[in-house]
Amino acid sequence: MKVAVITGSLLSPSDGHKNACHPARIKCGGPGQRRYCGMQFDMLQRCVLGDDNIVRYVKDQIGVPLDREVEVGKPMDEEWLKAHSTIFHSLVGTSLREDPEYIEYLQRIHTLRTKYGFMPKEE
Amino acid sequence: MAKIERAQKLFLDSLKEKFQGENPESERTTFYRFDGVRQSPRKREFMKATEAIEKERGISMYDPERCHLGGIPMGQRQLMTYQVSQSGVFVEGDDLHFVNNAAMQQFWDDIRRTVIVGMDMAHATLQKRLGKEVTPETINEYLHVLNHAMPGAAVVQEHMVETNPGIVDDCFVKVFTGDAEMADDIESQFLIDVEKLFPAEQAEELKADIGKSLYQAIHIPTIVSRTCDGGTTSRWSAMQIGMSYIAAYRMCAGEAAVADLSYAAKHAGVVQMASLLPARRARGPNEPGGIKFGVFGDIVQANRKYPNDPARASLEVVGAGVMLFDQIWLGSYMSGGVGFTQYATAAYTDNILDEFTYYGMDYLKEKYGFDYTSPAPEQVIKPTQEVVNDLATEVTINALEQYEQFPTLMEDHFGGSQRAGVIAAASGLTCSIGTGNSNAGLNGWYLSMIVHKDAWSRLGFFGYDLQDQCGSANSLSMEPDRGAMGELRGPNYPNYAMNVGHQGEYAAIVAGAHYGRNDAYCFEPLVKVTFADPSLKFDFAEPRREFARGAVREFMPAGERSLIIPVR
Repeated sequence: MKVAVITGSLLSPSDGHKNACHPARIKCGGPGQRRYCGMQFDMLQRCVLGDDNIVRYVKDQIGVPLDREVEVGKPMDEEWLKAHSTIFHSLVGTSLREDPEYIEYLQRIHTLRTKYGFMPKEE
Repeated sequence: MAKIERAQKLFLDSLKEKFQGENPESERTTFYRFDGVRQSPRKREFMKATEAIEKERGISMYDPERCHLGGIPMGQRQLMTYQVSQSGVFVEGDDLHFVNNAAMQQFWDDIRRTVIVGMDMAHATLQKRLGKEVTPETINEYLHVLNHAMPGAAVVQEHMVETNPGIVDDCFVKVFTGDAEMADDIESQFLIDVEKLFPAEQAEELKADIGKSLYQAIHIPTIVSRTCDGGTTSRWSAMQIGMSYIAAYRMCAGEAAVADLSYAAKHAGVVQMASLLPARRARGPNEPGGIKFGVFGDIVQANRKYPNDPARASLEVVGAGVMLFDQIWLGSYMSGGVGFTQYATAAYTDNILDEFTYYGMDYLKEKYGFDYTSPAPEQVIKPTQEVVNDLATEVTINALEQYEQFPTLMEDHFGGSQRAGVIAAASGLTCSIGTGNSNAGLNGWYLSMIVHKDAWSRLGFFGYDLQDQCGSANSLSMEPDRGAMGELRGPNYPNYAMNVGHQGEYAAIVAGAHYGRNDAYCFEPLVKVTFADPSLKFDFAEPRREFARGAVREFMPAGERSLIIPVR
């Protein structure tokens, strides 16, 4: 991973930085593309995936370049992620449709909240 | 509850057009390679226009590659084109902001500049207090005078200034009645003909409920209501009505009985399009926050044009409603800036909400035998909690599955609030159309939110979670927060006043309850007839198509000032 390229992508040409590289002009498919493969979209590109398969933070939360990269380890394995997903999903893990007990519980919550909107009185 | 098969995916054409070269079901995509804002022809047009503006005025302006996010311009993802749902027209997102869309402006202008004024009390006062004879001939003469005066012309006094007819040519007054005999006596140029404009069953219902009374549908000049506000409409109208009665019936303006006529003719029979809002909102009548959902369902005329497709009719209300309530009311009156448009367009572009809603229609037919193509009071389903729970859950789960199956659909609706609003809208519409009960529809909305939140662990932003997780309790009750039936609720209803992405859909859910029964109107027959008038600039039977025409710059609005400004 070439840090200079990443640093360049942080800066606008209007800043006069000679290494400035406009992020909008970064092309997909070249060696640099490796940095993004498998990563979730982040307009600020705050963390990148290096050629060594290590994810590094290169900017802080609001996009200011860090003085040094911060390694956060390897990306999670996709198979492992799918197996440990905490959400319902019809194609990955459990479909909500296939959990009738959970659906019944959700409908019960809604029904009770609706009923108690009437402010029922104890008989 | 079981998934039903629906091979047709209405949104697929849009997804293929928006994400060209991508498989809509692919789990992989690319970022950062689209040439930023320059990928969009409209953004390029804006940049080019700015060059000339900056030279002319010497002040910097639109500079998206420098000013956006510290030098990272929009367009790191694909800047999508949008199909205005069921119009077949693809447009740039920018063209759906109301500033860039003359049709959207005119939609709101035509509502704000409208007031309905009854004539019966004025006629009674003329006859009983002033001893004047009122006949079809005098009424026609009065309407002739009124159509001279209403745009801003003088009828009584010397030395009066007048408006240029070329600038106020959108201003006119017509009348309507439920009395066919009386309607025959009105000159056709002044008549909104209920029998000709509505399907036979709807016309009969409207005529019966309007009765023998005669009403004026008044549209003051667009440019007047724009320069002033919605509160002006009844005042401008009242002044011209008073002068026209005096002129047409040859009265002395200073006569004591004329004071009685003034009240009877100008004020006593006024129907505003929107109620006055509380003082903290600082808005007069005829402003968006005061439009009752039932009235809004009557302003939109799609059920008149598509009586056998209540889903289509309701979806037109969604499009019109989110444009007015999200983009204009919340987005600009109450907030500011441009952000609300992106949210609102999710509900009326790319046939996504349409697909989810028609799935609900198919489910209604499959499981309950409700044929939405033959809406009628006798076929609606009894609105029990069990039915609402079943319909809302199934429609919600189906929609979630569509987003899961088509990642490009998720990219299209990239915000949680967009998805939450669209899924809940389809659920609420299915409940209200199927049961003919607006509150059942609203109740279905809130179950959808609860199911969605537990399925994916999120909805939208905090305002969304706040409003939608406390909604079950007020959706049916009339007590908490001074509740009311859906038809009487509106954008300023306590639980609805706070955030984007609800009010247009709620209006549609309310309207859908009546479209599902093939009612001629939702709340106010006078409003239904008034906006059926083909002389209006905006076609209220096809709001989404009109917005598309505005986006591609084919819509000609009113209120243009070219007659009084230098030629460009």
